[in-house]
Amino acid sequence: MNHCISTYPLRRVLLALTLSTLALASTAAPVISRLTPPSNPPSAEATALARFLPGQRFDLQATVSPDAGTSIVSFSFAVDGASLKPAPNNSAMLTTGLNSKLSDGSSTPANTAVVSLRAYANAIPGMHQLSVTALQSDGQKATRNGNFEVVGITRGGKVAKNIILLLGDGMGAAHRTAARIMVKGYAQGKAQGRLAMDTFPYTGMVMTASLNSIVTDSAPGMANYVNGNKANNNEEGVFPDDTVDAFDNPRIEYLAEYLHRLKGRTLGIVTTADVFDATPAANAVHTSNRGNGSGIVDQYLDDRTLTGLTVLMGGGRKWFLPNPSDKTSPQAINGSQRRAASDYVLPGDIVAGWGAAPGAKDPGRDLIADFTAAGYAYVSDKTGMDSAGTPDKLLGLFSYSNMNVAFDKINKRRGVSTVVDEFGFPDQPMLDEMADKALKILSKNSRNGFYLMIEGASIDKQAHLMDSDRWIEETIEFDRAVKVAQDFAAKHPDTLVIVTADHECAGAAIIGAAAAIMPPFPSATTVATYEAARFPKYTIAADGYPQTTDVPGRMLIGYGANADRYETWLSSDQPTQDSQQPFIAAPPLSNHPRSPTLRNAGAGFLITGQVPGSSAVHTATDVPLSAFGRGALLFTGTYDNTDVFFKIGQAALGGVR
Amino acid sequence: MQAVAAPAAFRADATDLKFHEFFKLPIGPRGLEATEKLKLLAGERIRIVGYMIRQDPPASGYFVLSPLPASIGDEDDSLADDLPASVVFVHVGLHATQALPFRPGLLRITGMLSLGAHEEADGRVSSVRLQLDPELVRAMAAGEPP
Repeated sequence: MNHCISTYPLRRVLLALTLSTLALASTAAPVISRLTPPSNPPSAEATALARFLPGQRFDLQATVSPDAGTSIVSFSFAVDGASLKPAPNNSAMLTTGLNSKLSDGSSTPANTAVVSLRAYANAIPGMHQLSVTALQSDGQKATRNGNFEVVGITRGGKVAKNIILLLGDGMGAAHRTAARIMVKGYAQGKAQGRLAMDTFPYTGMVMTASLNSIVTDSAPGMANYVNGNKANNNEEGVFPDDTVDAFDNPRIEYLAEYLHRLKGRTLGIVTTADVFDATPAANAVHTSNRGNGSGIVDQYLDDRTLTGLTVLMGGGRKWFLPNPSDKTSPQAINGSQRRAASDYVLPGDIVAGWGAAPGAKDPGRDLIADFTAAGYAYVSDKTGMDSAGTPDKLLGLFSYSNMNVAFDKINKRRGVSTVVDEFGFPDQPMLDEMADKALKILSKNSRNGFYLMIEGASIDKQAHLMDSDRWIEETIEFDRAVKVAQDFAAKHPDTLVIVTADHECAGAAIIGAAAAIMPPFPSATTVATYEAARFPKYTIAADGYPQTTDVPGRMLIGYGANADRYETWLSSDQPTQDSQQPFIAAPPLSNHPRSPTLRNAGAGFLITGQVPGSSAVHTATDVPLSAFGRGALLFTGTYDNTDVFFKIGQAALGGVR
Repeated sequence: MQAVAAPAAFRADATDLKFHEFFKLPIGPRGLEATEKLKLLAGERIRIVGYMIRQDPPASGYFVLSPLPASIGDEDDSLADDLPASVVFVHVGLHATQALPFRPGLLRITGMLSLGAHEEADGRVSSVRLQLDPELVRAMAAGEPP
């Protein structure tokens, strides 16, 4: 027993010593906490996370933390085992301006470095291995591996020279159905007409999740379609990083930039939102903060050589007005929303790698003047837009922030509402009128073709507010713009038209119809369900919108993603109804017959919400996509929103037979 | 219209100002242009009637008064909002760290007017501000009924 005792402990000591030496060796090396583009874990059955078209540019980046007392002295990226030699100035190591916490929530260690190689591109289809190696000042190295895929294009088909993408923000299947019921009507079970988007021959279902959630917002909701990669909520055209600056994130080349660079195609952006908003911006601007208005609108102009921006129309004039600093007296009271903190200055490696404008913190910039100096005609209302003809380039800013919605614009044109006047912009165009102007300008000036994004922005905004009448009429307005695009594509057969949504909003559902003939009916018991709902019938005026939405037996909408609201089952005079708002009698009210006593009765009954806050929220539900024209047959099936980018790429570059 | 007023609010030395008197309407092709009346009232006590904007989460230190009810701050919209251009940012006191409770209905308030571009703590830039009279701040913070 003695000899057993004497040898066993020695072996244990030797083993312990060896283990502790190995342990020391494995901690004496830098830690790479992030490698961009992100990869799925090797064991995942999912497809490659990061995918690119051949030659599509993107940034490589890693976050490397050295051991205490050391620093990172060098780094290199390798693809398929071969080290990448950076071009002059497009590579950098940043050790200041980092977030205080890393992606795993731990505190950022001292001397952590964010290392980048900008504007990399790979033209070879297939899976590629990506790796980064970092060297620390005591000679220790670390390597981290990832992967990305280049999706090839099959050549030899008929190419779609023009791409028109119409995005109904928040527009799910219920939103489309409700618009059809209202504007076309049903009888004996059949729709008495079709929405333009209903007539598109190819339809698919789109999965809309973002990089970090099943429930996305409009920033990745747009960006995923137009650069083929997932993004975090609130981020547009970039992967997440560990620096504070919102404009230095690793970029992914947008469809517009890619087609402009490869084919000389131009870009048009038309929206009813403030033009700095996520959906328009996520076609042209790269930022991890969708709220940085000054920098976003500046880059529309400053990077027009990268995107080929030719038409920009919507609201958001407040970002284009100069805001000179407090050094100026008397102070400007022009309503500018510009500020240095939301403006952009790019690091040298992005400027060198992408050819992007360096930028400046210049809240005092007169951006409208700079646009006109760069050759854009500027229009500020519908009258100006109509009389502008077809200039080479056009900037249209029709309101201070978001444009007014169709419901209020139409009532203004009919002379029964002054909401639009109270906002100060009485002469705003409809989305179909804007789309028509954009297509005239783009087709006249774009010999090589164009990409145009048209957004019906307030389907979503009004669905958040659970204002059924307003989002249904927004959808009707959006479909009128779809018709304009479809007519264009019918005349120009080398055009692909896609109608889709970034996500569904509010869990909207057509739950039935109003049981009583006319108000008052302030409760849930007055919802006529099943066969009692019958077929709500609306009279459509010559302008294409319902004479009134308050008809006997009107369609009723419920919300699955609702916040608390007071429901009257009636339309509101104003975009937001105040629960104590007195009855406002503004003659003539022949379009809105309503008993004055109803409104004073407390504005409806309380429906308790399922989500906190005062607005309904987005849902994770798949959304329908409809396609028309050249390459439309690629869009059947159920697919990811990032897949849409590669289908567009195939149609735009390789074509279809 | 029946306006809901906070108690003991009426100062005899306040000039009435309406939202449609802020800027030349309709708004021209560029930015807002202040009216002579608005410019003359800078630094003076004014009285104005409007709706408190519902802001989610509420801004600390101010609320926005508007000619029309509206809500802002939905996570998906941020600064792309549905506010009319003529709104007033009502400041509720230098040391206010808490927001006043949201109050529906028309409010009639008084305070000192100030003009010019000013960055609020939450990143909005206001053009027209009102320093709410202290007795109104107390009354509204206490949720006193009209």
